[in-house]
Amino acid sequence: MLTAITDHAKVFTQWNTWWLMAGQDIKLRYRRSLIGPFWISAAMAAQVIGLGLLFSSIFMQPVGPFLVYMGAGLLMWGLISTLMLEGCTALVDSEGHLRALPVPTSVLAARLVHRAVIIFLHNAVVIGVLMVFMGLRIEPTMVAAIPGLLLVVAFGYFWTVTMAPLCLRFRDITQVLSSVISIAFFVTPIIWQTSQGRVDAWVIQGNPLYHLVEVVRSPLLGEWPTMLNWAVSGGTVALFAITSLIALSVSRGRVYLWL
Amino acid sequence: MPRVTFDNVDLRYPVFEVSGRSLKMAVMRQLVGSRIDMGVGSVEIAALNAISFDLRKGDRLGLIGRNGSGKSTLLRLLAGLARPSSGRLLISGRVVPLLQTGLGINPELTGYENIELPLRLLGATAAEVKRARQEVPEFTGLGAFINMPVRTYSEGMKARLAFALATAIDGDILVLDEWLGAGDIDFYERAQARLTQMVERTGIVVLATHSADLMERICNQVAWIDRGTMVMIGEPRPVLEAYKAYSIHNAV
Repeated sequence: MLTAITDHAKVFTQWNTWWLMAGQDIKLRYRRSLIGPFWISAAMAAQVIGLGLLFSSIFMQPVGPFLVYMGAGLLMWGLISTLMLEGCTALVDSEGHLRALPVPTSVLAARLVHRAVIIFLHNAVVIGVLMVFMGLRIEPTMVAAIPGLLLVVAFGYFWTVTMAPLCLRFRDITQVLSSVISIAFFVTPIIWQTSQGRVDAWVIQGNPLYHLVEVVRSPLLGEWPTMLNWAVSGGTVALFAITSLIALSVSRGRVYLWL
Repeated sequence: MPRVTFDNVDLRYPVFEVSGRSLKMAVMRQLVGSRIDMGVGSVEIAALNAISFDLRKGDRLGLIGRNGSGKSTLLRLLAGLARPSSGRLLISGRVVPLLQTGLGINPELTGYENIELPLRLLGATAAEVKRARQEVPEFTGLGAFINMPVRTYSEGMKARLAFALATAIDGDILVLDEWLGAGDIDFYERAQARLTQMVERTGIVVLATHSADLMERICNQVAWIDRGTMVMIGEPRPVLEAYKAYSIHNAV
């Protein structure tokens, strides 16, 4: 267990490594196309506008506020689903390095989280402009989005350290999870609102992903997150922090054998 | 003081078949229990058995043995890629493992951009990275190609870059899987000189090779490993002779 904690500490002692790796990942995306990760942002903006117009008319909601709501929701969903999906392949994708050298899982997880955050910031600029255009106002509650975002980032890190070794050992988990995440997109209130009242409260409140979206989305939309949002998000982070220690202890010295 | 101690080290590991890599199959095996034999999905390999030796500063150990005898596995233990199943393994000092040339060079990045990451992964400090940025372009003699993506390189140029990176930082313990060779004759000679210097500077060297000449030239100890067990360890000449005699006998 102690060695698992020192593995986590390598995120701080070897920050150079993951910083560099994530930077190169992003640099390569820019090299392949002029606007690089902004392609993802453009696709997301199109999704916000398209789905926003469609669902605001299906649900008979005013277009402006609904687009703002969907913008914030899709922005957070983009970050959370990227963290979860790419977290599964963090080790599988680094096979080349792992065959030659022992690279700590924690360092590869930090690289992935850093890359996902850089892409998130690209999206935030584009979606932010769109949201302002659709009538988003600056609210004092927006300050609360920062600790919320930190919780999401911590979740992504501990999730990756837990899942990456598991997905390396059992190669079918990644496929299963990608289906689960695409269903979760519809179950989590992103393209529909909780106030529409057609879904049982326990389905909404029992979904930790809802709370992770909400700790950032609700302050952006001018409301303070509820205590329950904070508690469930914090609890989820704590749970994965514990499982990450187990994953590190079990996978120590075995990652090579699972490649 | 660099030091390597293997004390009765065993390494066993499972090799998974396709079904062994599946979570569904793993769960099914639990549910079905022993009533139906579905195959375990993995085979356990005893790669090393009761390996013991001790290396101190100045020691150059050569590993000899047939393919699949456990030489590479032993190097992986030294590199920190694997851990003993039982027994004790003590390593003090910085290990520079050169098990595979390449160290994960990214073909999309330029030669120059590829300098830092492999070295950081090897544990280089900022000062060492800075020095390598100067030294690697010079030593490889790639000229303007150093600022081109590695995918545009010929095989020889790639080999030059990989070699220069592998020999860019010094450790206390150097782990070599086969003596590094690279490129055309002109470069080969410079490369050999550089590697020999590196070996001379390093406290402990462990080298696996099939070349008996190389071992006699470089090593002060040779270990003969067969089917994961240490058959003999000692001065190069007697061990190499015993190995040669055994190989000839078995070949007939």
